[in-house]
Amino acid sequence: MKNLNPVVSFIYLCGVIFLGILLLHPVYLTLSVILSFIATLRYCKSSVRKHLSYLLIIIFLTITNPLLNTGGDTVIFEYFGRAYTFEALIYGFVLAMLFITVLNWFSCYTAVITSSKFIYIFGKILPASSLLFSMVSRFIHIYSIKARLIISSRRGIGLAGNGGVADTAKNAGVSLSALTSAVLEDSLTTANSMKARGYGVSKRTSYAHYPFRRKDFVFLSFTVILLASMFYSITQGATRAQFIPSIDIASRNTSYYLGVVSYTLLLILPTALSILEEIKWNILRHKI
Amino acid sequence: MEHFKTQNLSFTYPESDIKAIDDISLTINRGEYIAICGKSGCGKTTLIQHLKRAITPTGKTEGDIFYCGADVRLISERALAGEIGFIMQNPDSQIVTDSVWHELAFGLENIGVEQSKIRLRVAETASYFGIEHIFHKPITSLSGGEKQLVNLAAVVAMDPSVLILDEPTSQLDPVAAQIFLQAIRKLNSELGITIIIVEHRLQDIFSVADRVVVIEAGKIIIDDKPENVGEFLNNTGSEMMYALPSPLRVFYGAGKSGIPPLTVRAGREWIEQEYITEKDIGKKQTIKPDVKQKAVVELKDVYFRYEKNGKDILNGVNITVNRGEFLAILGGNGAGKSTLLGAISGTNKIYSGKVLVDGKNIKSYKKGELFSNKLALLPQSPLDIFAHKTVLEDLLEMVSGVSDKKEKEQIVAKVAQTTKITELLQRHPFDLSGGEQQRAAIAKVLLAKPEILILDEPTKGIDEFFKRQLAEVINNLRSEGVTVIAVSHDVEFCAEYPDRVALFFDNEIITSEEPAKFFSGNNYYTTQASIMSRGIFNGIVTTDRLIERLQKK
Repeated sequence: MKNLNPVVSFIYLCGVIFLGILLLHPVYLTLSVILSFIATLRYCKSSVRKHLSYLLIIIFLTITNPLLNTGGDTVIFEYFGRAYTFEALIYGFVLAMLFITVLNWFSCYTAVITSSKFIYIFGKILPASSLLFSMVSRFIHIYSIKARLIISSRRGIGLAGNGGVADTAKNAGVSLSALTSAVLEDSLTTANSMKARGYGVSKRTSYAHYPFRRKDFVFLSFTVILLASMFYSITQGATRAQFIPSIDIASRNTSYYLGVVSYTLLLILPTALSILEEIKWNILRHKI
Repeated sequence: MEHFKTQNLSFTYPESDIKAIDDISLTINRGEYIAICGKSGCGKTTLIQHLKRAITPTGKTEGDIFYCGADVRLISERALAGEIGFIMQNPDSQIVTDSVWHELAFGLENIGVEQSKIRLRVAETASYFGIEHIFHKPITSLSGGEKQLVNLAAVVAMDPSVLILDEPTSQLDPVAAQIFLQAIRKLNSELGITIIIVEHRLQDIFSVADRVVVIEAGKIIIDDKPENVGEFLNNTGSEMMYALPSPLRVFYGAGKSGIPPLTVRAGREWIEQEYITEKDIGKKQTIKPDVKQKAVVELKDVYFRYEKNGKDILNGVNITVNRGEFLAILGGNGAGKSTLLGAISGTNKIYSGKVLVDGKNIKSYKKGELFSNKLALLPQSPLDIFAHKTVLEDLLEMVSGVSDKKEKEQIVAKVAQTTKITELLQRHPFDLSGGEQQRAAIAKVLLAKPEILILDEPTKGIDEFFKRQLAEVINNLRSEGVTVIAVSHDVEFCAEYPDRVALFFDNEIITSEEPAKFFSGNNYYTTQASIMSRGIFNGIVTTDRLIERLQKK
């Protein structure tokens, strides 16, 4: 997907993120969690530890949801007169899965849509904000380094990390204000540098060049067709799922099966593409 | 042909009565290489900012500026954006985007050049500067020198006819600075681009510039060929003499006049001609440091790495610093000098070996104990330790254990006097010039009343005068028994002031010796004075000593 035209990958990722948020039906949810996980394996350098930490998120969200949401018919136990219900517990689990699906897709998004691709997509429509996006991605890096420098510099003259809690809190505040001044000062220079290089004097053009190739066309066609059939299934109620007050899930009919097949194919697309490309590359490399 | 011309140009900042630049008339011809110098805060930056309208500060401007014969106010911004390139001091904050290729394309994109043309210009520029290997890298992975080269390339990609540079090398190490200045020289001689450069490091540009303009308190005091500028400054006894390259200072210091040697080679030839008859036979110059042989900082087989599977940054470092001593640690960029300081101050946790401060392992110091009245570290960028609205507030933050406000202010006033910042106390730290910031930072560090003062690149970005003042402050402290450890790549500074110089290379301390011995043996890691006098007079490593020696004749 990294070699596709940015517009194509952007449409695809927006589509799957949208569906990921929309579909709470357990079967669809299972599909999206598993397939998005596989996609992150192929596209992101994510660590095992990160995925293990997801387990904690699942447990946390599942257990805490009934505390906030007392709806649901099946009461497991009561505490201080509040009900802790089975439905809310399940709903919490479903929300956790949804959350993880979206996280997975967003890590794919950050790996695939680099800031320059984002600018390429939106540079013409939103020149200012797309540039802002690219600048912010650099600033975050610079300022986290700066924050660390300020803290260690203050410690070096005996100002931070030596006193009690109140002192530490006061120091954190002072360091933050120092960081803010540094940030403002820095952005003034950056603004000058932009002005000096003619920012805003005329309509921007773009260096980046992403051709629209045959594979973009194929990928986009698949995406569009599968998204369309998904929307058909959704309008037919094939993905209906309700948890509170009682669990009610769509029955299996033709549109349900159509939906499941389309969703599976849709979510497996990037993984399939990456595997195909790897095979092709291996064949090509064999010839070298 | 006339490229730039200013006529009776004056400028006053808002809420100020003093003219930052005063009645400046300057003509710059196409293809010229102009060096502008002066003490920090003299108005040189304000002057060159007027040559680029997009970044001219707001305030009251009088007089006229012409670009190629036309009033700059009448030329379209689009035309000027590319034509006049401007490079600033800080390599980081003038970069806009997050990758090298995008930075190169940024300006061309702004002025709406069509895509195929942008791609060609960017490709051409990247190969001209030899930065193809970093073309796709994120900016964050580059070194300071590379960043500044990218800034230069990004401006040159827009096809400028003139480049204006505001102390472009002040944040770079000497090697990166030379590479940068060579690129500038190449642009001037190969492409005929007019260069207007404001610089502290005169030694690298003095012999290259066609004209040198010296500014004092907002006025041009001389605008002439380099050799005449030297003569003028010598005759008027200007403080700017100290900023001149070593060969010129030696020439005038020896009481000569006429055409001075501009390069080290010319300087050496001149000394050989004039003084070859009397060879100085090994009369060693010795500095008598008042050092009591009592170790205050000891490093014993110190090993450190940042990551478990990374490589050792400190690989068995051994060094002892005695009470009252001034030790300078020299070493290249990225060699790990700052890491070493981190190990001494305990911010970097070493995994093997021992660091003893006052004979006690730093691990057994209680939390905060090491930094209260014992050891203090001045960071590389002085602004990192300022957090308040005025210098005074920042300094007051350091005074602890005194409740009376008057008394607090007295303590601050005393330190302000030693560091010469009394008149700066009410200013915002960010509004100070580089040298002033450094002084204020030292004041803040001194209020911690350290017995051991650690300085990380204290001469970075500051001019010659302040270096002298800094040395004075350090000497005063040492007379009070303070031990000073500094890391630096400023060879001239290390030759002049410390008792001992250590070379940090390949992750360990290779050698440590007194400066005269250290620099007279080296061929590259040495001073201009040492190269000029080697074999004629022995053991002379500083410009001042060489002048003294020549005067003796």
